[in-house]
Amino acid sequence: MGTVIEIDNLVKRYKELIALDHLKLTVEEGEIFGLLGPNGSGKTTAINCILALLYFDKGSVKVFGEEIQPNSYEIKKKIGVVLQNVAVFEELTVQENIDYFCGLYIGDKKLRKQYVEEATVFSGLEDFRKFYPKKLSGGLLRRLNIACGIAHKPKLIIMDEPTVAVDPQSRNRILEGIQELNRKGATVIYTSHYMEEVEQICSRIAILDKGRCVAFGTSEELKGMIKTGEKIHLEAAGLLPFHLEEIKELRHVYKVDYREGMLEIRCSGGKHNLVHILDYFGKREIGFGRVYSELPTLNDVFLEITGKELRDSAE
Amino acid sequence: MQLFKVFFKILNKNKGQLIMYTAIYLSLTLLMSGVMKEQAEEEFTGISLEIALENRDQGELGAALEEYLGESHKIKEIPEGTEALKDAIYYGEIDYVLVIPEDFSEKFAAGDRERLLDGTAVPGSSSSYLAEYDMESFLKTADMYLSAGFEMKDAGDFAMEDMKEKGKVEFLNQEKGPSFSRGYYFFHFIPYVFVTMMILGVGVVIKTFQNKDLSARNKCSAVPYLQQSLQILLGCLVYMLAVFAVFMVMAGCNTGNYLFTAQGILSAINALLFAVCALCVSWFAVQFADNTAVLNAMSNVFGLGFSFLGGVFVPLDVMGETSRKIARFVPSYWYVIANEEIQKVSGFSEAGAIYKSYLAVVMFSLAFFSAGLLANRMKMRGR
Repeated sequence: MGTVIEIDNLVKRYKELIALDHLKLTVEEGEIFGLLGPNGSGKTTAINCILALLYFDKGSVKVFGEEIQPNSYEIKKKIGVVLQNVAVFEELTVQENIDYFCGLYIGDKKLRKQYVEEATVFSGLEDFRKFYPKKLSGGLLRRLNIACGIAHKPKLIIMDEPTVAVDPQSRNRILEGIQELNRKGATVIYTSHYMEEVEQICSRIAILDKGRCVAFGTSEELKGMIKTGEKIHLEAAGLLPFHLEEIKELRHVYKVDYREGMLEIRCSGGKHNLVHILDYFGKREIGFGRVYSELPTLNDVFLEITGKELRDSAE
Repeated sequence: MQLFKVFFKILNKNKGQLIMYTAIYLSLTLLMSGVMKEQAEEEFTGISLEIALENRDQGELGAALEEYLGESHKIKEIPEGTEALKDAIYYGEIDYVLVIPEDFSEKFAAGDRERLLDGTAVPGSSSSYLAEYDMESFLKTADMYLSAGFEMKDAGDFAMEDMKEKGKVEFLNQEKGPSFSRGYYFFHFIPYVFVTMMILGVGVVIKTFQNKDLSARNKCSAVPYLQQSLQILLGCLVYMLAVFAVFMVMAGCNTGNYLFTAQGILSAINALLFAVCALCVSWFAVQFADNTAVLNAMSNVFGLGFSFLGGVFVPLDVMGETSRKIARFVPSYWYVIANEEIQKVSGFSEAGAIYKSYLAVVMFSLAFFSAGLLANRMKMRGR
């Protein structure tokens, strides 16, 4: 296992705006690496720097151990790219599009034909070979975009928000496909502002905000970085301020929020938090309705680190 | 050669539009070249009127007048009845009705010229004016001979001889005259066709390749950027040569052996250089077109603009001095000038002025190509 991508102290400015602010990341071979952040956090800029589509102001980007340059064609041969916007020719059919992009890497016609066929089947586009992109649904179009990016069997696949505006069925298929590619040996960099997706498929995650990497690690490591260990929601009418004060005094509880009959209690780890809270309600003889407990999400991680909701920022 | 192949696949997708334009332009060019040639050849033939004539005169002058009118006009019998006569004039079957009275020669010899001839036509019509002018000229000439002491018969004969002399018409400021070859007219309209065909063909393909996402995707690939650009350039050149070849084949069919003469070869070179220029114009135009609709509009702006300003649709001779000065700033002007100069030479050694026009077109090509490069660079930086 070696390092596939090494980004060190990367700075990219657009006039006054700092798009990447001393970004530092490493991507290891064989992993699915997630870049998570709201729109405008610098994910796409980072991807463009990795692909040498952008000149940066400071720092270095090494891919497969070499500094990436616009003319690093030997390195580019090993990279598959699925850009955020669908980049296919409207004038070519599904099969012709896959063949075109595969042909930019694979010269041998026989091998290319085999690869195109495999990519077509892998993406579930075998029934749409002769279709023009205009005739495809949003989900199929995204799958075509992916097929064009992975047909030449690259060692590194960079996917920039490949599931934007895709229906749940197509999204699941795409995510399963990415995991399948990873199992076959490809290293994947996956950017998204959908935390569920990143959490579902990525082995390590970097959270970006304003061009900076604000947190980095596995999903569990990231969640371990924050104070919230458990969130308990409880439906209860007529709670008084002293009740809230008393609940806040319970063990592990560090934050209580009560709005429109719904109580949200944040606990900083520990066990049996729900039992303690229900005990309190029993002793005080306070009636309650629905009760549920949940573990922290990446959104909570983002909220605690940046002070804003990932989901809200993404909108 | 992925990009080169896709270049023609995209072109193939738009072939319907291109074939339609080619067919329309070819028909137009052939039609216009035919019409203009015909007009130029027949422009100064005399006008022949349909004259219904009844000669009641027994004298020699009446016969001479009838014979004279018969030389340059078509003589018909007068329809019987006033209504039939009116109808014939109304429907344009006859232009003028003339009755030469019984004692016409006698009265003319006696010097009586008042109401000698009885003519009818649509009042104020040009046919009435022409017929009366013809008769008056003839009678004045005959009168001159009578006054000089000639007999009536001789006066009539001499007047007829004199009137057969035709004036020679020459253009004062149109040196080419009416005798240009068919090749001249065929090649004359090529600037419009080439500019439009290049923008609609090459422009659409380049536009596709310049799409922000596709361009970024291609740059990520293992094919060097220079090689990608060269493949697209090769596609452009092949398309340009194909369009040129189609028009040369049409020229060959339309103009016979013209293409195998020195003039024909010079015309072909002129057209080829202009095709290169049109290609550069399309490269320039595509930088400012955000979509195909704008590109279509640009093909009209450049195609029609160059044609009207450069003397393709409006002859340079009828353009004012200022317009001609402005015209020098469009490549089609130099193309038209070269096309006219080509008609005056019989060999390559006399083609000095033509080479100068060729050079001007080449310079325009370089200017448009450079401006296109600059615009492209600015656009890429903006991304």
